[in-house]
Amino acid sequence: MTLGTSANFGLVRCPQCGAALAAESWDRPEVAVSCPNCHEELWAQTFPAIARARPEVRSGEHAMEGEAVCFFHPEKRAALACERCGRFVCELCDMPLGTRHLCPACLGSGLESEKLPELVNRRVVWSKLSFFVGALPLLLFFFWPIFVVSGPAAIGFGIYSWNKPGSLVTGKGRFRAVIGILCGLAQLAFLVGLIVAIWKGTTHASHP
Amino acid sequence: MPHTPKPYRKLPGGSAGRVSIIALWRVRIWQGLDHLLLVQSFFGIEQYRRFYFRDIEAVIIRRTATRLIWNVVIGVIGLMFLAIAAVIWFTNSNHERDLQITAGILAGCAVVSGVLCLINTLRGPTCKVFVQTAAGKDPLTSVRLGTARKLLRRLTPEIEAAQDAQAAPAAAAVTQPFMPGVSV
Repeated sequence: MTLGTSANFGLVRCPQCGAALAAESWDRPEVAVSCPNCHEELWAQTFPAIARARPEVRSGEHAMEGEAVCFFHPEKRAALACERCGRFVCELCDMPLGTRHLCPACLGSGLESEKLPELVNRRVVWSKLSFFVGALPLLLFFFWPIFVVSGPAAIGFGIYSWNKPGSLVTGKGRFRAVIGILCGLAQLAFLVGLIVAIWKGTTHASHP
Repeated sequence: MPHTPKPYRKLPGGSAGRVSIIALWRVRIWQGLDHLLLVQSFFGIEQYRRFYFRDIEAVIIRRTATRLIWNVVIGVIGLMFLAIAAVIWFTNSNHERDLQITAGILAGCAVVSGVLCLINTLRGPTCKVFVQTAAGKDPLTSVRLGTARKLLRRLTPEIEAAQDAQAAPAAAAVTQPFMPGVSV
């Protein structure tokens, strides 16, 4: 269900100044139209939703004798069943999520546990983090003292990412994590080599 | 193991698309089953924004001056290279080899700037794509006009199909009483 302001209903507005576009500019995305107010060059493609009446907020109808009732409101008639737990819900408790319909309890639990991908708004992709922390310092080699931090961090992030949920669009990205871990190991190898070289240099200097 | 289809398909458009392997910050658009997903990622942290096809009222493309600005910036840098190269070349009355090489390198930089300007011009005008829903207008991406049109051609049938499918059964579903076990 979409709720909107009546000011926008049925109108395409210029993204720059907010002026309403002339109706003839609609549905001709190949033809540029100049905004009457700010003279910006615009193309617009409209869809049936622009002319759709805003649905009224429904509170659910009272149930008659023998009708299925809402799990949360026993006096209200059931409109649907939750697609996750199967509880009957009224129109008020129906929580549309994309093409699915959920009850408020499933929606709440999905928000808390990130089990519903439709509700995830932000995610730390540890494999990407491992890749960046591992590869970037190697590319910017003259910052090599940062290897002390970035090397172990890249390895740690890579291992941590293994069983963590990945990106919604590209998945876990274990290949990236492996590259990150390898880059982290390379950084540590450089540091160890440097320490060994300095130690050998000092021992050679003290025992000529 | 059965092959599970990917839930999202990459759509044309999105900044830093070509250099994504090293881009720390980027914006990409993905097409889901019933929605557009705008993904803004920065250093391994991804933020998602969904625009459901059934809610999209209009897609608006606004032409921007980004191409012109880049042409001016690159052009001015190129002209500076060219001017310095010309000054060195014409003031080098002794025909010193080092100065001639310096002037040649600077002239080469000017030519590279010119080529970059030409490529930027040939790639077409720049624009910003907006999605209008009942909740307002949201910027989707900044791309070349050709890419924006390609994006629109890909999205239009999906959005229309989603809204056509929604239009008819929605009214019937809410007015009829719910009968457990009977699909409406």
